[in-house]
Amino acid sequence: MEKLGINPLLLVAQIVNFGIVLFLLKKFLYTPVVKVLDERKKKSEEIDEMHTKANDKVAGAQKEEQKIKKEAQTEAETIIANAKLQGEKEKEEIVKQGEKEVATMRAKLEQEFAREKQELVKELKAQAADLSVMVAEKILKDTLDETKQKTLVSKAIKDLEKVTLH
Amino acid sequence: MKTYVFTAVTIDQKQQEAITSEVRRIFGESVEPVFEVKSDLIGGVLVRYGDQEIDLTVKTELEAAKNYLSN
Repeated sequence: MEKLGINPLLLVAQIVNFGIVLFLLKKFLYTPVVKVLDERKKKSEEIDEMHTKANDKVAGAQKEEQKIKKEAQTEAETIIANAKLQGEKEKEEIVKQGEKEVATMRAKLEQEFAREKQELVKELKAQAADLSVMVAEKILKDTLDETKQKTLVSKAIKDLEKVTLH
Repeated sequence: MKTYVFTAVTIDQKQQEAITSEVRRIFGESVEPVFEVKSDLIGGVLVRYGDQEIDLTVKTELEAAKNYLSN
């Protein structure tokens, strides 16, 4: 080896030195760095997982929100439809009631009108009769002379002849 | 009982006798009718014997006509 220019002692020393350096590098540099890298990787994975979970939660919440909105809309539409139906029903009842009241009122008014008309006719007939008799009395008083009075008495006597007591 | 015979005008003796005869036939021979004039009777004869009346006057006929016309 000496012929090749290699000092065996120096070679051994260098090998030992290299081993020491390798050991030191591994103990104080490589292992901590790998450990740090592993931790960072693990942490990154955890963050990714949390991110995914958060995204899932947001998606779930959005889905739930849509579902609630849809249900609320359906419920609102049902309430509006029921209210409209109820409104129509009440409107119909009011109209029906109104028509009934109008019919009753009309019948009452017609009855009242007929009664008043009948009373008026009766009154007019009575007045006409009064007037006619009054005029007749006046004419008779003015026109019945002695001869006609005598004739009336003669007629009364003839009627008296027909009278009998029961 | 007093019996009255009402007429619208004064009547002659003959008619008074005829009426007296009929009144006696109806109410009895003892009846002595009293004749009186009531011009509002218009014409005819009204005999009143107590609460009974025989009304043969024009006034009553007109009243009957009035009632008929009123109804």
